[in-house]
Amino acid sequence: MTTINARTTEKEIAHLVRRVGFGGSKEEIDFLSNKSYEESVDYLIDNLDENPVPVDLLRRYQIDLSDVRSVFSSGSYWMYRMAHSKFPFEDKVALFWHRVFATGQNKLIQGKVMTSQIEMFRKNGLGSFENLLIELSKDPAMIMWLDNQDNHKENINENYGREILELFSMGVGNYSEEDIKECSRAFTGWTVENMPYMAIKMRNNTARPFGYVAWQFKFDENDHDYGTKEFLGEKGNFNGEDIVRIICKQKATANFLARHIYHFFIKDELPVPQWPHKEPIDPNAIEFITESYFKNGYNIKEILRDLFKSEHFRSEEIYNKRIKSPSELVVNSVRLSGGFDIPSEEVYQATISSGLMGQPLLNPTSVEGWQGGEEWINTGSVMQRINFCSDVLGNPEKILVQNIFNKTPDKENILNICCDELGYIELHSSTKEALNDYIQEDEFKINKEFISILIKLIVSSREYQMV
Amino acid sequence: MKQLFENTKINYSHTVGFTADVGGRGFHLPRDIALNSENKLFVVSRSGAFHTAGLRITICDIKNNYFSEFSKFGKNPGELYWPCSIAFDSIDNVYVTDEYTNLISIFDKDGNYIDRWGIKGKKEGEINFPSGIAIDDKDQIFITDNMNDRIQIFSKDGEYIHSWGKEGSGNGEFDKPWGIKIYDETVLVADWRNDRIQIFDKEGNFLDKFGVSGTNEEELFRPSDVAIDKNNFYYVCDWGNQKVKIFDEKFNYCGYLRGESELSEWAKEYLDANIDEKKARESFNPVIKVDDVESHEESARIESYFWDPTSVLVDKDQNLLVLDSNRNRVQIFEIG
Repeated sequence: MTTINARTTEKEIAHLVRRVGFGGSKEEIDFLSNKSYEESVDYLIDNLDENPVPVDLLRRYQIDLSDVRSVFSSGSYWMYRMAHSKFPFEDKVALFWHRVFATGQNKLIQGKVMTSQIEMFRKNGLGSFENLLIELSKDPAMIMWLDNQDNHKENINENYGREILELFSMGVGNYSEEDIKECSRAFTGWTVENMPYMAIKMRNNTARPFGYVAWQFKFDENDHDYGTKEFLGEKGNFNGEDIVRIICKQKATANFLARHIYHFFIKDELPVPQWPHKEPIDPNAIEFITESYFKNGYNIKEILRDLFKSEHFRSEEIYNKRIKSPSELVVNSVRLSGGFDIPSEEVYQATISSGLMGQPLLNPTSVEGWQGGEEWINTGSVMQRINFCSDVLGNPEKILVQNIFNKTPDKENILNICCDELGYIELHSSTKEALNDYIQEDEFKINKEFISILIKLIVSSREYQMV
Repeated sequence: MKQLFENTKINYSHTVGFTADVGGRGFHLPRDIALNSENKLFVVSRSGAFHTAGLRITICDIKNNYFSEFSKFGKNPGELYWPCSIAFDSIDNVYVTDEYTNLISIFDKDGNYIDRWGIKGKKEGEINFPSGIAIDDKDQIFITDNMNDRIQIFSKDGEYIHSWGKEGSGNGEFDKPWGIKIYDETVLVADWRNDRIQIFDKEGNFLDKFGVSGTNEEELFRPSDVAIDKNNFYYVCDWGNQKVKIFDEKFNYCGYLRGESELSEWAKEYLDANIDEKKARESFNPVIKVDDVESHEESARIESYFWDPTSVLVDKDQNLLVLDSNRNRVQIFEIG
């Protein structure tokens, strides 16, 4: 049984805010440390920041963030929000769903519909998984991404019917090929308004004559197969909503979702294609999440609340054991540096950097999304990661360097002060020793220039790459 | 056709424009329009932060004639970075504000670069984010000094003359002003974040104001520009509400335009050359019932509506020109 303390250690809160959001500043962590751990979890997930960024200013000054056509402008629009939200849990969860329900602008061409999909994740991503899957099936970006506009009652296209089972809910091995066909039949007629023209504009990659028209869901009853279907052992005149209802009550769905949640919030799991063949890393944790899924009526927020308060999440064994995804790294760094100015070109650089590190927002490489884990690290991405963090956090014009300088540090405490300001980052003893040796050198002075250098060295460490 | 008052109607006429994001006949994310003394229409395309190839100033007219284009993305003389507004002096030289470089660039009527001036700062004569520009009959340059929340007046050569305004919501105060127009001796300013139009004399004395903040029909939300016709009707570019709102000379609300664009001549020629798109467009229903009430989203889904209208003007023939920024076109209405 967990003892509830009136106060929580900075170390545990730092872990919590790294995983629930995008890391915290010293000020944020100190504030939460005065609450019990459970209160902190509730505080972080029950509060929302409806308008973290003044959208009118963005649209006026950075006009490509108004028509959000390109991958960089739509990605930057989201980047602003993640970097500025006071309560970023909603966006962290949207990022989670973006990885699970990977949809990419490289095929869709226009960014507006991807921005709208993220908005949909924000709106529905913490409610019932059943509702989320229905909204996902109606999402215009998903429809066009997986060709459901070509899924007709007389001639089914199985792409979405297959992926909703394989990648979005149950996983391979828990349904038959016949189930895929029947599932696809149920989703016939789920299309977008003005489909022929919208589809050809996408195919021809053209914004002519007057820019892109954002897509809207349409149920075409004339193209829907109203016949009887047999799906996962049940029989009826099923529509897409019925299919999702049947999917959500399967234990395989709960297990599959649990493994994704574990992978994103607890510890790097095996690549998804191996899941049908390999046991989870921590079967007890998967069972815990699975039980929570049914206990909470598929409600994602309550499942995560259970998880964050559980020993599976609180165990020190998982602290700093995941490699930060590029977007986590970028957003964490930007937040610690004080955020973006508005208007600013920095946001584009941050968005591009995330892409160069291997995670272009709103443009995953395939329908399977990003595997993550060690795949985030290679010789090229490491350089990108270090350079970006050094540039952003070591910038003497930004608030971080100024804050540290204002604390009038000396050679004895400057390393601790820097680590605390970076969100109570814990350095390995060998890293500390090397940095302290450098600090003790005569050439090292206590001024903004050397504080900047020290920060650059800290964020270049392996420790800063972990979450 | 909208009936404004007895004997006054406004009717959609036609559209000029086309999406051309790498230059050529058309526009890309245009910010402002202006007509010179020869009735040539100059359109300032800002283009995107990463897709800068579409930045230029296009010279055309409202009869779909395309003449030429000039300038490009950059910081060198003759280049523009974040161009915002455009105006002409008495000999049709072209003045363009640049919000990023804080420079006012000057070109001749054919687009040949002449000069530029401007210093970033807060002091008198310094500029921070010049947005709107207007030039009076004495060739005095009026600029909405956006981030300094004031109006500044310069000579043609950039010599400071005077200024007025400060941050705030009182009379004569501003919150991120944008468009500016001069009619005879009065200066109209789109006081963007105060959701109103303010009217001054040229010395900066406050004369009047109108506009109620909000998203309801008679209200304004982030107006970007204003124009007046010969009967003293005001046409407010209600950027945030994606409409043009019309008021009479006593500031009584008369109605709004939502946009009703049809294909421009340039667009028709494009479709004639791309038969697959033309054929698919035959079944295209531009005005669908949108399941989202937010006006920006509605505009994104309905091609004929204004999507981020930024600039309005009334020409000598009493045509209302509305720059439909995200749709890369100018919608033209006849005021009858």
